[in-house]
Amino acid sequence: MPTDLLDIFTGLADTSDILTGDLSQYSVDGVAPRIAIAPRDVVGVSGVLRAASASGLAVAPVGGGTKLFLGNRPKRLDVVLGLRRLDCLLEHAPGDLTVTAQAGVTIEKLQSEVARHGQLLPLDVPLPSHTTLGGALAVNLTGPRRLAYGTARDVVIGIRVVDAKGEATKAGGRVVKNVTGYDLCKLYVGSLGTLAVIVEASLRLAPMPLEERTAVGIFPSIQDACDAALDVMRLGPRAMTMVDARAGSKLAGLASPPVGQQAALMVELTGRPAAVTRRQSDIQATFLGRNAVSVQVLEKQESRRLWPAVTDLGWDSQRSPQQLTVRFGVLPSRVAELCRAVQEASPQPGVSLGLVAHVGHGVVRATWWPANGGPALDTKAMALLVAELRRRATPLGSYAIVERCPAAAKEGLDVWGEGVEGLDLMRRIKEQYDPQGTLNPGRFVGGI
Amino acid sequence: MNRASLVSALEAVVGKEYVFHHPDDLLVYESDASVDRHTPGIVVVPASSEEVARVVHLAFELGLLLVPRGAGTGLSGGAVALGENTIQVALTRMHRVLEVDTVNQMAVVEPGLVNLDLTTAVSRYGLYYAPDPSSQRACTIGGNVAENAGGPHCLRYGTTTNHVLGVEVVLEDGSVVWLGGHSRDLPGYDLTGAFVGGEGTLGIATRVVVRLLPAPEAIRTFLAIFDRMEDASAAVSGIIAAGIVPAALEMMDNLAIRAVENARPVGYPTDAEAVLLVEVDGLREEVEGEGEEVGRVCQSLGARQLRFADDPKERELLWAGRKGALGALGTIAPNYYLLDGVVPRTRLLEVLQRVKEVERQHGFPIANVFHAGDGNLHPCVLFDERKGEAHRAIEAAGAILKACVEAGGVLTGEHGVGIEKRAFMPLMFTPQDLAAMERLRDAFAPGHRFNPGKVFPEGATCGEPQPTPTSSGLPADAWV
Repeated sequence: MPTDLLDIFTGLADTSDILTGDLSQYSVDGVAPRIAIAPRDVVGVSGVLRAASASGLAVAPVGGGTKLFLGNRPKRLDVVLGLRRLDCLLEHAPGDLTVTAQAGVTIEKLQSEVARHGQLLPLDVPLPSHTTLGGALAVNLTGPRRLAYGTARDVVIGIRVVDAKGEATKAGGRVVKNVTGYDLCKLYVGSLGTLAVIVEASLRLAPMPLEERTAVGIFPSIQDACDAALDVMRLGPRAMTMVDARAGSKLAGLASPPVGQQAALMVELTGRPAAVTRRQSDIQATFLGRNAVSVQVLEKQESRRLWPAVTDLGWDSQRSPQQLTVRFGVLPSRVAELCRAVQEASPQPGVSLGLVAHVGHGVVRATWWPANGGPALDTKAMALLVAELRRRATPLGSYAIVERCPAAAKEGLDVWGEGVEGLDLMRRIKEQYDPQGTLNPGRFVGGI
Repeated sequence: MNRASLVSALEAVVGKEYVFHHPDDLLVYESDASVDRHTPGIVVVPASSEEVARVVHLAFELGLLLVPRGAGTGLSGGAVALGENTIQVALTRMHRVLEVDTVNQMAVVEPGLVNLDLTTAVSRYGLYYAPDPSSQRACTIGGNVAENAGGPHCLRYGTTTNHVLGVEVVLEDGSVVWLGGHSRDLPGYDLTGAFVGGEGTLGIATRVVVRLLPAPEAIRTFLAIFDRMEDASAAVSGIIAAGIVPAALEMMDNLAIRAVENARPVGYPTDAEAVLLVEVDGLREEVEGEGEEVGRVCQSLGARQLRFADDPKERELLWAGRKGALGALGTIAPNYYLLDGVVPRTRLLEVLQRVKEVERQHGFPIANVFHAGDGNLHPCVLFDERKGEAHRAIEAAGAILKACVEAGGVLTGEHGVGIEKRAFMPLMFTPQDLAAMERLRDAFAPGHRFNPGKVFPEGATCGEPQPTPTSSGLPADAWV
């Protein structure tokens, strides 16, 4: 470890907070930091940021590290700031349906705590056992249940951050309704740690439904599955996701289209048993009317096994390093069209494509990986594919964000895409909150 | 540029008949539903996004201030034009529904569209727009966006911010930018979320993309009358604890009950301490089940009376007392100062008791008519301006807001900070917290040309005006 860095931080952080060992384990897209520090409290976080910004160092805040591959390669990286040790669950107020916790608490821990009171945290992020609250908010990734609950932006009611200079501030509160001052929670959520470091958040909770079931329809085509999905939107499902045969094969046989069929549509029904039963029969009829070859109903236990697997599709860390995952967002009515465009743009045989489409909110993920023994897409082929996807997605009103690809492939492409609307304003925001570019420089849109 | 040439320059943009500059014409625009009053320099009423942009650009070139205005129903002074020669931009001519997309359940509208007119326009498709501020017959979507307006039904469905997908905004220099849009999770910062609730200080919204919801298949409304406030509060907690988040959960206290019975009787027993209104909606089976549960909770807590309604006409009757409550307070005192604090719902009873103490200590009757389900209190401090009580009424209000914040709550749940509560901001926020908010304004509107004097306390200056009380400037049938 360079001694100059130690000099900078020893005065401010407890030396035992400085992580030892091979620093490459804290790399972001292959860029290793020069030091890694995991403070045990907010004062420690402030100290690190104050020292780093005073010395012109670049800092990457890290939670569970499950989604560090998001974003462009860091322009600079000196300090990895670990938040995992800020792991206090500060308050669960069951009667208020709210919870307040530090950033390093995992989503799974929060879920199990609030579940004891028959409640749930309405954020079904991928890999909840390793994903921290702070990380989940910073990336604002959502799962299928956002259809009912919204995203982190709808769930967060208050936030505490430490800014680039080490100043701790808060916004919002611990109550479910609040318009006191600007809603900075919205600004920090999804900002990928480029504006401030989230150290604490208050969130709204939801009561656990009395009954949960999932209807799974197998369809001969993606078009049929998407049409069926649009038909059942009015029944207020909690989640509604379509998978193609390849993605479906990863769902432990719970929703896997058999040979010859192209899509499975899963619709999660929750609420009072009588209401669930009625929805279920409506859905069965609708599916059959839309050419479903079969409709199966998963009861509570199986249904509960299915959805976490759906949420994790494409995110498991064991996946090939050659994986490419691209996220699209379109109007629900154009999901089928988008899926078709993605399939058409997809390259040679030997590379597998899996499609996961949350039809109700129009978010679609496509993942490519080498098929058994087949050649991987090289970085040049990836860049060409992404360009082709963008060419086809733009007329459908969609972006194409590269969520995951080998670090080397990022040299040849901007993962967020060009021409982001409002980029000037976003740059001005970055300039206001982090003028020195201390926080995650280069990783966000437009090189922010 | 002198005033006359400014007027002609503006007339060249929006047309002669849509620039108001004679003192008589400006009177209409000097206040909103708060009592803060200030006459704008000039009022322009543009017809399109392009005209708004040209007006803003002109003001930018000349270094003038701008205040956007919808219907002027705001309760915190948000649409009152502070500053000298401020140009007020009234968006009321821009009231079109530009697009309704029934499949994707969304609409694109202009900011001057009246809230209820949106629901009316889409109801034939079985859809509706969920945020329902009490002034929904008059207030505009643009104003709702500025204030992040709520309403009784936001308990279950969320406030305006949860229903806005995108906004076209005219920035300080007259440039036009889209924040958000039709697709979800666009790359970059959530500028839409940051803009909503900006109280008109960040830019002027000229188009809004909103989410629509399918109209519920069934609705059941309960009216429960309680002898003791403790029991009514316990019922609020009990319903939430039963795993039910009702569409609405409203409460009125004894003083409000008596006011209603004085003014336009609906049959409340005047010795009851609390009336609770609970509404559940959804599929028939859902409503049936939740309804039973709500009834059980209320009865087990000793509700003296429990009525319910399933059809719109009867529902209106049950809501009549609640909706008429604010107007009815006029029968008790000529003025009231209406508060909007929020507390964790589990601390409602405790804070209501603090409100009682304030009532005793300060010597003003205080009525409570409020959104109990989300802990959003609306204490009304009743006073008589003619007796010079305004100043002391504000002190009482300040004591209540302080109690809200001490109980873990906030200053305002749906009315906004505006002029009215800016001096109270330091109760909740440190100078550093406020500085972080100011950075957002510095990014959106570095010249601070939009809606000056709102939201932020006027820091170092010692001439900070006291908040002014909201008097019965509201229409008689207004409710909050």
